[in-house]
Amino acid sequence: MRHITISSHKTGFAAIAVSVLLSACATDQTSRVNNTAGRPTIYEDVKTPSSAAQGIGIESQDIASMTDQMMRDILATPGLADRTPPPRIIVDSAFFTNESSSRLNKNLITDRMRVELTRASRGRLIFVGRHLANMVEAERQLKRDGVTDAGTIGKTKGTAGVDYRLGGRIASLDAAGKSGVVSRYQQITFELLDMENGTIVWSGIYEFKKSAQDDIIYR
Amino acid sequence: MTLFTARRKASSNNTSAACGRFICLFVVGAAAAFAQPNYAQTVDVLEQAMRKVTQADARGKVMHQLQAATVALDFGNRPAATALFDEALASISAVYAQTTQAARARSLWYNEGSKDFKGEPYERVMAHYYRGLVDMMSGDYENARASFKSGLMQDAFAEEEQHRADFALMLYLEGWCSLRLGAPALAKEAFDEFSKLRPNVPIPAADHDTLILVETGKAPRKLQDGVGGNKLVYRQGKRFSERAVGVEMLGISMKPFLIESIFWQASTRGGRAIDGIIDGKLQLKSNAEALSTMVADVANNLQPYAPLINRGGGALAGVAAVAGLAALISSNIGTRADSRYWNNLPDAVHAVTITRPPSATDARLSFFDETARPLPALDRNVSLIVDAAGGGLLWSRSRRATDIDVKLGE
Repeated sequence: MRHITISSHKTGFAAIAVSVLLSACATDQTSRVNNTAGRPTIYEDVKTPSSAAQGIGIESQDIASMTDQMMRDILATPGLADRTPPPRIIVDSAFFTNESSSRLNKNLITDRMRVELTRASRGRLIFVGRHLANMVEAERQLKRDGVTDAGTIGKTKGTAGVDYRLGGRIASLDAAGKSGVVSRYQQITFELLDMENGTIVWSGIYEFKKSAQDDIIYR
Repeated sequence: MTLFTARRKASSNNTSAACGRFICLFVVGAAAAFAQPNYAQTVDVLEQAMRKVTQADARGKVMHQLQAATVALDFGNRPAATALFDEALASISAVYAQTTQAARARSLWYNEGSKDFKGEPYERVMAHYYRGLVDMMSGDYENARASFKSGLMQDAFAEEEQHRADFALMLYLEGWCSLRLGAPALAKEAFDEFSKLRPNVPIPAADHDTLILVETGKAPRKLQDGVGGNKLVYRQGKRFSERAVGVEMLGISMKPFLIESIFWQASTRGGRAIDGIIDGKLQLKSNAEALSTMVADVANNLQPYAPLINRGGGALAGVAAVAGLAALISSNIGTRADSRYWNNLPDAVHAVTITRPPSATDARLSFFDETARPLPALDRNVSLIVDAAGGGLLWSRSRRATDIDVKLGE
């Protein structure tokens, strides 16, 4: 009889222990506290996917890769970087259209491309900053009004005309399946146009496709 | 800013630095958008919405961001609305693969509401809609178009095939953006798709330069239904009767067309993948309950015979413990559907495009119920936004973003 009593107690204690454990696991979500530790700021490589959040749109690694590729291609194109005198080129986003489903600041692409080209070409290509034309015009006016002197460059009748200008287009093709898989094909075309004849003297294309599947709880 | 500073000092200590940054944005914008008599009230509303954002945990952050962004946009504070929509969309667009929150929401012991809120497809579409709207207000039609296209993608997961990617509002706005950008071929593609869904709504003419967009009614409501709230059902918003809109601009009267019913979009999606998981959990819960009842019955029935069974008391106690364990498991399985929702969305969106009279700066809006009876209490004047390229946009709501069926942020 004594033995039976102890056994019952053991069983009871076990049941209570299990109950407590289960209750702890299943505490009502509203009373839980998110005690996740923070994370100090870290620098991430712009040429690698972000560890924090990823989607199927254009990300930093895509911009870095495509501008690097286009820069190398332009520099290797005969008749451009080896021309004498060096050609004058405008690289900005004014004629670079975004027809894709990715929200994007197009300047991220054209600015990086212009800066990298300027640095790598070492004077073999001359870039005209038409995107800053207002600033130039204001300074020229100050010189011509006699408010400032002519500087060390001297005056010119007009600002630099250009030989070539960059145009392009960002397009995308999206697909989504019932299983929650989404994919986006991105095609970014770059074209350098002769600003007198309208001919295309160089073109490049960068394309990629990303797909992902969201967790089932969000499908 | 003085009022802002005073209020900040008086406010709760829980208000974080981030909250202060956003409230500052709110107040700066609100001052420009509201007449003096409404200023203090406006600040209160915006502070309340922002406090919900800063106090929310990760589960509800996006929902509160969307609600606060809608308030900010309605109260004329575009910078704050932009920042909040951007933050919310960063979470909505991120792919939740192998995250602990997602795994937990799938697990046996948690209700669906334990997941981070990203909204149902109609809510995600509307997040993109508002982001695109903010872009259009700034004259950035390219990024607006990108938002509308992305929004349409969110509608591609409907269980019922005939309702996949049928969010006509997004197609209409995508086409409008292309038209404004001088891309008639792209505009035609979008409008052709739109016309399949809304054959009675005329598409904008090539010389139209102004879009009038008016939202009516209140947000669709999500309710838990079924056994223990395991089913998600949608009901139309309550306590509103406006169904149609009238616009008068310099003596010219227009009737914007009903382009989209948000409630219809919410309620025609069909089943969700998560419903299968919840059904499975419900089945397990039911089985555990049945096991508990059966084992408890066995223990009760055997109790009189305990002295006849060798060490029977212990065996019976063990059987009872199994019954208790099964009952405990059953009671702790999370089977409730997630009924949190974006509570200050409209019920419907109406639109019309026009060639704007050169001197037009605003318009008078009037609203009508389903029997075409006027609702003068909702009448209002709305200013026209004209971008640098000459494109006009007139956007308004029949009700304030704070006029909701449940308390803001619930």
